Amino acid sequence: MMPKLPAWEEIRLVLPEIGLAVGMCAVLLVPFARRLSKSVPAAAALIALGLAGFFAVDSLGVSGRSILAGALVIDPFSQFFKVLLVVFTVLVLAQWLLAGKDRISAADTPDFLCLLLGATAGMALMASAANLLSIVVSIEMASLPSYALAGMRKLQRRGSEAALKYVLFGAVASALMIYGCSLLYGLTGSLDLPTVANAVVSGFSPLLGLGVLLLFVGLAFKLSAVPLHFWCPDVFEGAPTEVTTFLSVASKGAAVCLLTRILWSFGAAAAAGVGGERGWNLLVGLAVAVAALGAITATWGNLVAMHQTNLKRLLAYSSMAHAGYLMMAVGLIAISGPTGPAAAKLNLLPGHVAAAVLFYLLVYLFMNMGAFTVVALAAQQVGSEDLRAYRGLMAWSPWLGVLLTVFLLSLFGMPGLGGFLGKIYLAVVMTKVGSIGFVLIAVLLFNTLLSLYYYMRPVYFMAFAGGSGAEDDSPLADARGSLMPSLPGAVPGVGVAVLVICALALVWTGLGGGSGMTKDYGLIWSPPGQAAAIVSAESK
Amino acid sequence: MDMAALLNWMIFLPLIGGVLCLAVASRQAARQVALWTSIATFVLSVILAAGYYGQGYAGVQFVTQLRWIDSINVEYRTGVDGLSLPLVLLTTALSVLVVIASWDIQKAAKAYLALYLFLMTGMLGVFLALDLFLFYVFFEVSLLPMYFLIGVWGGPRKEYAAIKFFLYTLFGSICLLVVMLGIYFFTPEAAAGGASGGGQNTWDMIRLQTDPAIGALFARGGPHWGFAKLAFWLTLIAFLVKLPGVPFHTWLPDAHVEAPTPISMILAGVLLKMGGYAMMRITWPFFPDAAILFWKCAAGLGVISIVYGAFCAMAQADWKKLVAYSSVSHMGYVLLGLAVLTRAGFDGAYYQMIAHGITSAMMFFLVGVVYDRAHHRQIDRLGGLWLKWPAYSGWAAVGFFAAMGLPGLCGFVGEVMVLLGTFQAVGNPGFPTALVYTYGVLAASGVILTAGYILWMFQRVYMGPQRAEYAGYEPVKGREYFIMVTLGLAALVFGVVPYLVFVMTNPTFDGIMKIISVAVPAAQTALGG
Repeated sequence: MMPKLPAWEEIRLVLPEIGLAVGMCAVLLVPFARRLSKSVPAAAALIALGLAGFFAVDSLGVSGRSILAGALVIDPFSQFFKVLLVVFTVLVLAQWLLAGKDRISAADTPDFLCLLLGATAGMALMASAANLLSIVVSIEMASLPSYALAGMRKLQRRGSEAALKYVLFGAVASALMIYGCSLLYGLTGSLDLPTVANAVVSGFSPLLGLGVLLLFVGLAFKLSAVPLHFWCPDVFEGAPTEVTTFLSVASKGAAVCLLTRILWSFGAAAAAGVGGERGWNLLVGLAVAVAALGAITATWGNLVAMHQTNLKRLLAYSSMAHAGYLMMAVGLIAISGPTGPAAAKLNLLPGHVAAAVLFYLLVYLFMNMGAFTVVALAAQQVGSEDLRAYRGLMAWSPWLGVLLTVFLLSLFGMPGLGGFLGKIYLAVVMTKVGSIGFVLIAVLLFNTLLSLYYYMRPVYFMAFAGGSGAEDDSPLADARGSLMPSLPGAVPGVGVAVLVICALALVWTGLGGGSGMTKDYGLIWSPPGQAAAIVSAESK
Repeated sequence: MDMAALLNWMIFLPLIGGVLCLAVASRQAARQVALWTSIATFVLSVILAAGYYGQGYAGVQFVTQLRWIDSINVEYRTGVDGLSLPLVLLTTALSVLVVIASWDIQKAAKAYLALYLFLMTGMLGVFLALDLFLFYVFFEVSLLPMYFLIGVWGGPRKEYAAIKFFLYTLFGSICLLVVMLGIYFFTPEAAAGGASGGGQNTWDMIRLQTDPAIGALFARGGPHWGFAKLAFWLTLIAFLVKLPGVPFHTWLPDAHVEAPTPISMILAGVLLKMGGYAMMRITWPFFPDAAILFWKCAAGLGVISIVYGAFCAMAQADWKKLVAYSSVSHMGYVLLGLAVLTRAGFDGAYYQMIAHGITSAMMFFLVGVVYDRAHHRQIDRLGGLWLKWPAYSGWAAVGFFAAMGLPGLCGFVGEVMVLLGTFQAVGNPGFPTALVYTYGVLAASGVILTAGYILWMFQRVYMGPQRAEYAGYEPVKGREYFIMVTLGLAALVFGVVPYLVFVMTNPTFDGIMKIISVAVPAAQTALGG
């Protein structure tokens, strides 16, 4: 096929990414005009994000198409994620303005913003990537700026350690993934994901299996799935809080989206009747393997989180647990479909999974954002992220305490808050695949019970311990007066705004808001010739 | 006013009051807000009862039904029937007394009262929700204020007690959630009439009880009989934790001992009833065939709770712990009365819940009055209180004797009816005579054990010579007398006129017994008559 210039139609659909790329350049150019300014580059970054957000919303209605010779897929699933991603990055910027700005010098500000926008662009591409090349490129584009972001506090040993660990882990994972992709390309002669999927499902061989396995290694690294999770707590603890926030949601969310797309390309192949019974059995194995990996990751994360005394580290393990929950449901998309053996045996549609994933990410964004923002604010006051430092927070700053409680309860899954419905939707997906699903539900609920203990520990320190002030040796004792009456005073209005937005969003989603929206946009593109064009959760 | 709207206002009025409590300037103002909110809620519940009387106490009334979460067919569905109304009245009436009992709480009084009012919304929501999903939301949301009320305002080991309470009850909730997901998955088959897919699932609790198509799914030999057996146990465990029944009762003594007095009152008076109520609303009517199959185990757990709880109570040196274990013993009658599947047993179990709501709240309050002054609860360090405060002790006698089951007081009716109902089960298919008699005799011995530990405690605390340290105790206040007298009179009234409850519940219970007894012939054939 002759390479042809992409039409304007196709360019229009990647405008969000282009907006971010232009923003990257802009923030680097700003210092030529205004040296050592923090606010001007920040404004430029916000404008870029605003443009990207606008174009992403603009393309929400596109009902799924493959562009740029199959390199990217634009469908409501990817575009909705990009909208979430942009909203989230704006909130991260707000958090940075609020708490992190002082820790990053003016000279570093453009670098920070450029890296942030670059990582965002990479993650947006991950949600759309649909051939081996664009998968590798988008993962690298998301990873490389993340390494640098993790070490943004250049003079801190912990930050440098975090960045180095991240780079080393990432480099190995990337190498393995690229090796896997080259195997797949060599064996199938195509970079195109649907073609590769067809080849794997119809004519499975050990070498192809190795290729797929190595491809998943790269994803497992981004998702911090066991056994590739070791970087996660150290990086999350060592990185500046706003970077941790960013990585915990955006990076994992993008990886979940990419995992969803790759698994669905396999599922779509089987749904189109490729591979017959043997192919179907293969996919059941794949689905169970991914779900089992998710279950192990979630359980491991929850068990280890129980022993943490640093709130950032605790939230790092908690983010592992949430990635695990998502993987448990996302794995099942490989055995979904409107036609073929999937339809004959199960009642699961890819749209169900996509909608559940989007809703979970929507909620997860706000609850993690909120929790980390409180961490950032409290750390600013007491200079510590240790759980004991939160002793008596409820008495000194009831608002901060109550809001952190709300975020933690939502992370745990208290009914009435978004986290609960998120888990319910994942469980509903699992109910549709029979006995495997019920095992997964049991694991999910068991993990929820485990997680209660560690999500309640900060609350225990905030509300129950200390507070009387008598034998108090916590750093917050000195912060008395500066933290309590401050909201909404000394804590900047931005902070109040971020926290209130997050809390309201959780209540809104907890009462069923957003469910319809994510259901409408939970549409995932199917390659033509594999399954009937596009599949919504409605159609059955 | 439209009664359905009034019902919803009643659920959420305490929530509004709670927010207001946080907003007002002073503690005193917050107390007034809480008091008037609880009184207003009580008045609304009385109006609701009057409206229900106007409908002839028939079935489910004043239903609100709104689409809520479409993608999984959740509805906001509330309404009242004979099973919920007496418990709603108990909740609202007791709440007024609890707010009065909380008058002297000084530590963060505004937050305390706000949390208490949030708890009220949770409790009323549990009793009035008719959608299983909504029920679950209220069931779980009511945990949270309790967690803080015990954890912040409790005694020395409050943190331990609070997290234990939370973890235990959450474990129960998760068992319930598994059943809910199963119901979500299986009920579309009822609508579609067979094969999977097609129909819409339902969370409507009344339909889940009464729809024969759904009943057939979970009937013995039905397509999901295996699930029904599992679900019976999961829901039983979920609500046994709350009830609490042996072996899931160990959170209760800790929670009660650490909780402040008013919170103990509401915990024993209403929160435990959520367990019994949910069994009557969900476990038994949803899975009647499984209930027949497993009646021996369920009734056995009830009997063990009665006897074991009574022995534990007898062994306690801590007065409040004694009362806490007496709750385990008394709630055992609820489980036994349900498990034997007779009308008298069912009525007795329900009456036992109402009676226990009155007597346990009163007992905890009586303990609290002394604890506020003595600052300890060791039974052997007390004695001769009758000489110090004859009037208080007289009302204490009413409260403790009502709990003991003295004829003429409310505790008697429930216990006797449960025992009668147990013996009535003799001759029913699947109910071996010897086993029924064994259960009956053991449960009846629980009455004697109860008399034993209560009278022995009464003797050690109230009889004998007065102690020297009583001289410094402040006299019992008028506010405290008000609570005691109200509860004491209630114990008396409901001991003499059980009709007051049964007139509300009878038509509803007829319906529930029909669901359970419809299942009896099916079991008859299966068990070989």
